[in-house]
Amino acid sequence: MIVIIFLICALCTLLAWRGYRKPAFGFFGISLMLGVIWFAHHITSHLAINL
Amino acid sequence: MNLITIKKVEYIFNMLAVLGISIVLMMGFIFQFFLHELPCPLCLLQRVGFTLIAMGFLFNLRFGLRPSHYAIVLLSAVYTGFVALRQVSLHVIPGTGNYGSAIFGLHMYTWSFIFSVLAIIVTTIMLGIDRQYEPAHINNTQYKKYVHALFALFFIITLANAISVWAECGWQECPDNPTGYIHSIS
Repeated sequence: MIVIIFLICALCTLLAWRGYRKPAFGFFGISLMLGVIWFAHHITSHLAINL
Repeated sequence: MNLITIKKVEYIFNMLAVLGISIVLMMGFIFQFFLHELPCPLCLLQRVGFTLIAMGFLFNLRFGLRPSHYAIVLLSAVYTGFVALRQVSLHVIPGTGNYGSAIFGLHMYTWSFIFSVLAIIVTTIMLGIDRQYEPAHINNTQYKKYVHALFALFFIITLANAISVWAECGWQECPDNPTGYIHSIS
């Protein structure tokens, strides 16, 4: 899962480098969202409390 | 301070920020490959956070100074701070152990939290300088080669991170306490 986030980040960097601002923004959003989802998954699967 | 000077200061700040984050990420590799300290899932998420922070600075360098690019930095720094704070909270109680070695007495997740908070404070101050957004012709040619070099460096670091995560965890969830690589890089 985290490998996918890094690959999207690399794609985002490449798009920004080549001058594609909006696609780069989109891929940034996707990678941040995936990072947040993965962090939320980590927290909910490790905390022994009821949220 | 005139407008051109303000813009130059902002460009140099953005370049130094990308360089600083690249050094932080490369330090992670030094600990991983030379000291054989495998990164845990939360450590990897902090690396993701730093990569996303640098993205905002790179956008500023490539597309010009805009508040939306600083917003990327702030959002990513808040994310990185939360992940780092979660890891600090796992080890903050005496007797709960720690993860990895300490640098100047503080563990890497603590440094990660400090850097995130610093990124938030410094970026908020820098984005608050209104005059940088005023249109002005600035000769960027002297910075272009440095910007391309930073993009190349950062692209390689991000790709190297992807390969190292794949070697450590493959496509599935990373183990909480990794003990070795599941794929051989060499």
